[in-house]
Amino acid sequence: MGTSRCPLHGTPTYVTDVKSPVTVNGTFIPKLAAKARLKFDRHGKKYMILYPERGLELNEAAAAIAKKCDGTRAVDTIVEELLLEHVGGVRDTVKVDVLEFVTELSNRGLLTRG
Amino acid sequence: MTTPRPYTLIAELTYRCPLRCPYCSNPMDLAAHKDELSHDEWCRVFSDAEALGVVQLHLTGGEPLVRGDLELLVKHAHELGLYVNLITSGIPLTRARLEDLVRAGLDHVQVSVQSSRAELGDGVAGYAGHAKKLTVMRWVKDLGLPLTMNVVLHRANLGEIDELVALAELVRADRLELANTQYVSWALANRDLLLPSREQVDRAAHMAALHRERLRGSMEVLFVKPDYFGVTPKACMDGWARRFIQVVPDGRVVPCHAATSLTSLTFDSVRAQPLAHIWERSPAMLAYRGEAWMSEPCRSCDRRSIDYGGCRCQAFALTGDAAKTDPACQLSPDHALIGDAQYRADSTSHATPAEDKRYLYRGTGSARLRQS
Repeated sequence: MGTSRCPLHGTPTYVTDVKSPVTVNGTFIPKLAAKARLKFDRHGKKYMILYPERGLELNEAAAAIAKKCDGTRAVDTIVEELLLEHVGGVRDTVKVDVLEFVTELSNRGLLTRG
Repeated sequence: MTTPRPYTLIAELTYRCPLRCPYCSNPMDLAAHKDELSHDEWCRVFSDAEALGVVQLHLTGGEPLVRGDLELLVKHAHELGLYVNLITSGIPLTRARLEDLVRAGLDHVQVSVQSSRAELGDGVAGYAGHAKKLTVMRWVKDLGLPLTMNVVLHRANLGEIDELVALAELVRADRLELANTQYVSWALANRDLLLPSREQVDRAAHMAALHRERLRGSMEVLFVKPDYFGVTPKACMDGWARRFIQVVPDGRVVPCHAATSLTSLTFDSVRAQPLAHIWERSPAMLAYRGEAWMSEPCRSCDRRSIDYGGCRCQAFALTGDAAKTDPACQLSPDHALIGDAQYRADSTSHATPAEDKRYLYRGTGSARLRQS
């Protein structure tokens, strides 16, 4: 997820070197937090997550995951759906990506337990 | 140079406000700013800003709630797909009106609090509003909106970090913004009464950092250090006219809160020219955009693309020349101007103004409230 940056401030917004108080596993059901809004940016032609005073530009893979974080699907379900939609994906790799995305956004307060 | 994409519009809807905070960033000659943009003019500004690339909208002032058309402005901005943030004192709000604003599409509310204690908070604001602010913050959360509690820090409240965090937790704030005063406009006039000692700032920063770790994932704790205490200037507004557009009540387009204090520049109005034209070509927007305007020590400095030379308003207020390096930078030949004020603050022991000193407050003439 290294290509996600905060375009409002130009700095990388993922903080990966902090200890993580949110435990995410396959049964975790992520939901976009009340303060966050997923929006397609017609100018940059990318999805963004908007939240107070900030914005996160998502690459294609991150956007595909974010769209499924609606409080109805567990991480394992999201992985299975992504594998169906993107033929050729490797389950373990996809799961690592989803867990990383969900963990990092949870620690930023952008995802909550659904 | 290619024109940068603005991401945030700061709409100062009015300068009217019930509060009189002695660090207010609004202009000191408020009486000269009476001609507010109409509803239709603001709607056009929002639409034009969205077309330029803006995704975030801050509705601020003054107190934006004194505008009777605020609900309709929020509705228009929401329909444009903007993330709509209301920055308010909370004072004129009713629960019914907040419900209307939520229905109109409001995304987020930021409430300013002056202290964790009513006595000090009301004293600083020059208005007995502390209790109302707590009520308003509860309404915001009860209605399911995300809440930022904002506190401007200075000598008198910098020792309250624990209490301010506890208050933010009590009202279930999603974000707590602890921002040290920026010394321009009213704050510069009151600087000797507001500027904290280095020891106060260091202790507060440390405590804020502990709370930030403890609350990570549940509440975001931001601590903005005063630039008087660093060795490098802050990246003011992430660069002049780069990511932020601000429109003041009478329609002039500026790059930041304090820019109307730059009497050396003329700011064009959306009443005379389209916003896009002003953003791309107006002399005031181009004046300090990019790096071409820089002189030494900024011109050859490795940090010029990080801090953009610091704050133009601070350079102007302290040296009389907006194109100079921000005196907050240790490399600035004018850095002693900061050091002198700092020395006075470090050698002053009292937290609140002594008997013979009083904050200089903005007048009350502009503080008429909307009937609601």
